[in-house]
Amino acid sequence: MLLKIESVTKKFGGLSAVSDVSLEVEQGTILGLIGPNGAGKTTLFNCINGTLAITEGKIIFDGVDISSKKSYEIAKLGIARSYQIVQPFGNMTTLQNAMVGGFCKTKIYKEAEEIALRSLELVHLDHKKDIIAKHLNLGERKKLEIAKALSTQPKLLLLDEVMAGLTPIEVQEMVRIIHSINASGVTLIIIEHIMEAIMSLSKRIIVLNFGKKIMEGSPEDVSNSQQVIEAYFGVEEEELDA
Amino acid sequence: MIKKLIVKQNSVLWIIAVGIIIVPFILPNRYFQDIAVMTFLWAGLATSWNLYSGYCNRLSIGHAAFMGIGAYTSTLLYLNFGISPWIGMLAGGALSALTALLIGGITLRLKGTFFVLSTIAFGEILKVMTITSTEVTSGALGLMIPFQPGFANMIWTGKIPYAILAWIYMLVALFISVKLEKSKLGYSLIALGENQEAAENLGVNSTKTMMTAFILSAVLTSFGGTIFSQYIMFIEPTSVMGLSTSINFILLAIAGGLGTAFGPMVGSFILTPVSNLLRGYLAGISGLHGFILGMILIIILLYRPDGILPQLKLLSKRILQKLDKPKKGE
Ligand SMILES: Nc1ncnc2c1ncn2[C@@H]1O[C@H](COP(=O)(O)OP(=O)(O)O)[C@@H](O)[C@H]1O
Ligand SMILES: [Mg+2]
Repeated sequence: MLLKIESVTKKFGGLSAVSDVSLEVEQGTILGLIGPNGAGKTTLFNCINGTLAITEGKIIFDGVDISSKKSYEIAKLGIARSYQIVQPFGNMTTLQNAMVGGFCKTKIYKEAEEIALRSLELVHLDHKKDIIAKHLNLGERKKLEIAKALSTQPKLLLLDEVMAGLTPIEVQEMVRIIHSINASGVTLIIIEHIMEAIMSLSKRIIVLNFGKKIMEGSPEDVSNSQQVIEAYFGVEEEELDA
Repeated sequence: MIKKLIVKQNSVLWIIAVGIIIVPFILPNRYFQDIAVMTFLWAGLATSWNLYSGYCNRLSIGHAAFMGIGAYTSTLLYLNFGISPWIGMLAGGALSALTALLIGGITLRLKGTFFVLSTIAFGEILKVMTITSTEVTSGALGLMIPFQPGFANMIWTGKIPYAILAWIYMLVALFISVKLEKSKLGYSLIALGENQEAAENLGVNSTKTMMTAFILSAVLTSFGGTIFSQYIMFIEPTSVMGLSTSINFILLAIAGGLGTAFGPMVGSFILTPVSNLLRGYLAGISGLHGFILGMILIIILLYRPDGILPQLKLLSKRILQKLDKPKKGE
């Protein structure tokens, strides 16, 4: 197992945003993570990569207990993430953005540049490498999020709603990009609302609701599950189309 | 083609930075030569300040404290023990590095306004300590350095040797800035200045990155303090440690272009002579030169908030692109 999460809980004051969640991710696979808005998906990512300290539980990555490690240490160990709300370094160029990640594993400028260029190629953004990041459109920013993360040369990549807000054609392209990232040997956990996309990517899906893991199974199991349908329809209608 | 020319912009700036040393040699008298010395020195100081604060977007407003440490360390060692200011300069640098390590350990983790306020407090505390330690520093009276010309004493009769020294100092600070921009440290610093959490997610160790740059900036600022004291031959707490000195670093850097290697130099090349000349010509009406200088700064910041240098670069890029287009048609 590349990643092993054991009974992780994250509390914000009285609220348990993630509650007693356990899961495992096998090397080389793509795990899908779904659930209504506010289910705790992003918070779980924040716990895995050390942005947030977990309240209880244990996270083992590649045989190392990373439960109390800082995010930059976890990045060096090989976990990278993209933000749901894109966070480009607005005044740096696209290439420079990716190079920040490129320097994660090397100090040599040329090497960091090569790594960054390869990541930009992988997400089809190399033609925009000299554009200042704040001038990119949403689709390009989503790609840049992935390229930055990829430049750290991760073993595990956490993608948080990289398809939200994209056009159907852009979604198709993104699905192909994710496939090619996976084919290059990177294990992924993807949070996504677009069911078609997630079904074509993951063989295994975990459903979160109110911070709890309510189901785990194949895409077919999940889409036929009464429990999951209730989780989605039990909450406000508007959250569905997010 | 365009890209190659844009890369050449840095070469143009290097040529200006290196070639400027001709200016003090052709200036007619000591008055103008003095302005040249101060222009180079302030360029070096503002560039040193920019190394941390400019790139990482966190204003250290007590930075003159490091200039003061440099000035007082070399001067006290020279006056009390006859130690050459060249060695005193290194000692001041070491002491500044140590101080930056201690102060940085406390203040660098603070964010936004809290960091800015903490740096002001640090600068003011050090100034007050210098004023009150009268036995060592002779307090607010300041310290006079006796005129004993000689290379070992870093004291010369004419202005030209000082101009050369200040110019070398400026070039060193520039060289380090340009290197920084092409290094892991520089990329990490700029990234965390824009978004600390996102940078840490990419493996940037914020504490280490900020500390390294802060120490580098403090040491270089301290070197400028020693050069300043050997040039003026008189130091007192407000002139080398005061808030207005720190603010001058910041204004020069912001006017020229914050977080760019050559911006602070451009800022000093324009504003230091203007400020000195205004002070000279408008000496009759007290405060007028400060007023006019303030107006100039406000105009720069209102119309060119990025500073002068980025605007010049943009302008030259546009011109180059215009020149480039017809050639493609050929
Ligand atoms: N930093 C935080 N402080 C307090 N509450 C938070 C914080 N981050 C998330 N939450 C809360 O935790 C819950 C889960 O949020 P989130 O993980 O963003 O959900 P999802 O990504 O599944 O939509 C929400 O109720 C949200 O308001
Ligand atoms: Mg979310």
